[in-house]
Amino acid sequence: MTSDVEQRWVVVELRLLLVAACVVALCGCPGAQDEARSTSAPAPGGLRAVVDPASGELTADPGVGLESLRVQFREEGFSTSDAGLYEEEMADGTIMLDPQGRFRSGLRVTVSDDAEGASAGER
Amino acid sequence: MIRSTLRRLLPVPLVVVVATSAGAATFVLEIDDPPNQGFNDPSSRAKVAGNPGTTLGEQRVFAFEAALQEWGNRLVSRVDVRVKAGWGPLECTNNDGLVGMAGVGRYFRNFPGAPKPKTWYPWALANALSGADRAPAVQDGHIEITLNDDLGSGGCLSSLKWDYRVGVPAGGRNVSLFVVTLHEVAHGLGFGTLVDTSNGSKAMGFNDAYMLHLEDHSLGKTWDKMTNAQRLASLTDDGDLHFIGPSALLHSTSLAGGRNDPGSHVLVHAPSQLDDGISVNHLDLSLSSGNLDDLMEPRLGPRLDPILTDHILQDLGWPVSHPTVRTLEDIDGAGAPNDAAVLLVGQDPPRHEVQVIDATSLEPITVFGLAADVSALDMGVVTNYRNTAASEIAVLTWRTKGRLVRVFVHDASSGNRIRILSFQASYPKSMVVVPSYTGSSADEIAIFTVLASGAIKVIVKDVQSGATVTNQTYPSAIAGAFGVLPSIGGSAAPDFVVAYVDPTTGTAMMEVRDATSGATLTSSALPMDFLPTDLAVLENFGGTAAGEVAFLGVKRGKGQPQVVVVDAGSGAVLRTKTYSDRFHPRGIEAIADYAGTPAQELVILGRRASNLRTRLLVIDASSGAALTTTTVAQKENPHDLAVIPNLAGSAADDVLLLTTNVAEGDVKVFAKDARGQTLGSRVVGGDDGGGGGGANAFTFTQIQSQVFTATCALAGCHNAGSQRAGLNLSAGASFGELVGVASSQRPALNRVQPNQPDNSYLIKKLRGDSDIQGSRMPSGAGGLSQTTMDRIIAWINEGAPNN
Repeated sequence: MTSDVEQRWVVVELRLLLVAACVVALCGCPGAQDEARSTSAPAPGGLRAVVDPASGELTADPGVGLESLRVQFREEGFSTSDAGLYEEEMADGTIMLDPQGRFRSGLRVTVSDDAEGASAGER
Repeated sequence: MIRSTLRRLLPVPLVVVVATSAGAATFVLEIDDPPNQGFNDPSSRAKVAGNPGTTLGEQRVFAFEAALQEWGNRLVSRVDVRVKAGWGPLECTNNDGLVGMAGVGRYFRNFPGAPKPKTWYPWALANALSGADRAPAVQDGHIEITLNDDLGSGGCLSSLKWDYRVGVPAGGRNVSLFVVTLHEVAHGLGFGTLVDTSNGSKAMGFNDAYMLHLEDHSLGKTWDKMTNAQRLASLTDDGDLHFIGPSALLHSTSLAGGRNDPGSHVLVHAPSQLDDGISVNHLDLSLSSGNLDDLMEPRLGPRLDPILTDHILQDLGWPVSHPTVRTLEDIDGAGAPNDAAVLLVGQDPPRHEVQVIDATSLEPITVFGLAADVSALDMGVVTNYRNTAASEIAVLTWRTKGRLVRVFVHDASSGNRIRILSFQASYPKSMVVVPSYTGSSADEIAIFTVLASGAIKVIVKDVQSGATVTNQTYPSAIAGAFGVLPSIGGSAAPDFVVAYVDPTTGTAMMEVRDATSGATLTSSALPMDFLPTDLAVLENFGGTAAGEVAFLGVKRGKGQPQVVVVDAGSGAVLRTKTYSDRFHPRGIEAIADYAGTPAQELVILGRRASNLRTRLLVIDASSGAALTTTTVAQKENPHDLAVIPNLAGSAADDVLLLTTNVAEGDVKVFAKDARGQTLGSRVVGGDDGGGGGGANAFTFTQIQSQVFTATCALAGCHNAGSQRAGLNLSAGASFGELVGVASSQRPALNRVQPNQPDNSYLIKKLRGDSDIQGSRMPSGAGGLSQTTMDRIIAWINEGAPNN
């Protein structure tokens, strides 16, 4: 459960993020781009986490930003594409593959209304 | 990756708190949350049942680690499994959402110990199979998990809340972190494919371990043998996509739903509309047994339990723990007229081991280990044929690489390995020790297996010679249960009884055959809708002069436990009883009658659906009436049971139950009177296990009886008459010959130097150090088990007392 305090914290961080994203977008900060390449696959959306998926525009609305972040997590994590992945051969002939956060699996909960109200896990 | 993306987007210092859980494999939680968030949340919380945490973060850590502990007790790995986990925003609405998401940090192929070449294995599994971290310099998690931090807040499943109790079924409005973690970790262990769901292609062009067992049933092909287009179509072939790994097939008979009934194939979730991240990587929603749903269904239900998950992971290559208990004759001369052998996974290093324990005190007598890379599936007791102090212990094992089916035979008193029997089989289900009927001085060992063709086979080998005695092939069918009967046909050999399910009609059959000739003596259909999983042999109380067989199983479609008692001579069904008490049945044993009826009683072990606790049900075999129902008080996951003659002074026999405590991860043995009274219990494995690692020092009396008398003080060796190398290790003489006495081969060293095992020549000879004269001892035995060695060394470290 996320407390109000946590919500505010996320909002603050998303706003910082938006500023950073704007800076990157406007001046093309090479350091930031290098870091992005080194830590993550060229995932769908990249920094679009802060873009309103409905309008396609940068938004300062924290709710939209959070939703966008959720969408990005799902898209990145559930991606099953090996495009851009590379194999690394080790000294003993073992081959290593870094999936870069892709090929994830998820577990869902569905809420259904019944006589007693909402309940988890009813199918 | 998800977490690195989160770190990039939320540039705060990463706080990593490491906590460990030790079991057969050690799982390490690495917290991937910022300060005051997720697992580090300092908000005060009222205590919840079974969780000592007083802050939100502490409660989360405790529940998460409890689930890691459960996996640690189920799997075997010498390499710590690093689980990097944190809380973040996952997709959700008020009606539907993701509660957790998991993946693998790296995949590997062509590594040392890989079961198949050119096949991707997840990091933790590659480590377990090769015995070393494949990428020690890479600090990402072997398994990476994100949990939904917004659940319960406005707009995200707001009517629900996280539940941090441990071992409690999910349900109502509660989302159990314990259950979600069990589920997500299984994905990280390899429960999922790397196939591209947009075009059916393999990752980088190679198979993965999971897809090898995915079958498109109507096509009759597994995914590794399909074209991209065929795999793409199979992804959404609802009801037709099956998991067909051999271990899963052999244990799917207990499923009341979720099989390709009447077949044994396990249905995989493949809805006609592709569900990214969900399709294929889960089992079908219909999987159930005894009113429990399988842990790897794609939606969190109220009764998720790893019914088949372990077996599927074993099919991927994981060495899996199957704790087993068997009764032995008394070998320590103390207390009870019986002792017992417990098969479990010990620690330091993690590997399967057998603990021989006293049946009264439950204290260990001796401990010996098995090879690290095998799954030990079953255990039996072979009548002593080598004139040592005790019977032999036979352990049925399976190794993924090379698909090796072997039985290791060890002396129960010394732990020394005597023999390895190899079987030509793809995967075994169970093993029975058969009293010798071939004229050999040793018993026979029969394994119950299924060939690649689907045919059931019983293979019998003589323990002494290793020769194959019998090969009996049964129809291509779903293997149910196997046992041995006293002869009903008048031959000198015993009979085999096999229960199986016809894969075309779904009818369960029982068949009795003579062990020597293979002649079918009885063949009959069991009741409609009965799915047999285990059996117990009973003395005759009805029908013909032959004995009876009690089959345990579940009712098809309903999942209730059922017992069917059949006359072995005629095949007539004497009693069918369905029990409304919903539990997932694990095993059945016969005990002596105490209710005053003509028939024996039956003890049934199961896991209750409503609270996941261990259930012990005692019934009268003739009437089916329930005599006693006992629930073990703690949250214990049941594994096995064995019968010992009455210890408690009541009229009823006693049973030894083997369980794992869900919260603590300890493997426990309970001695219980069949009427329900607990006579004793002891932790035998897990964090507080009495065996694992063998750090407990032997007494000198134990060394004498279990090592010197059993393997050294023999004619031609170190008995009073032979005294090779001037050393007499006979009882009464040995202590004076060893402690503080110079070695005749290396006079500069004492045979035993108290507190200095490395300067004790005895240890050097037992280890086979390079500076000894002559050969390693015991001669020709391949060395003592590591645990026995550890306990002798511990005795020297304690000053080598004459105790």
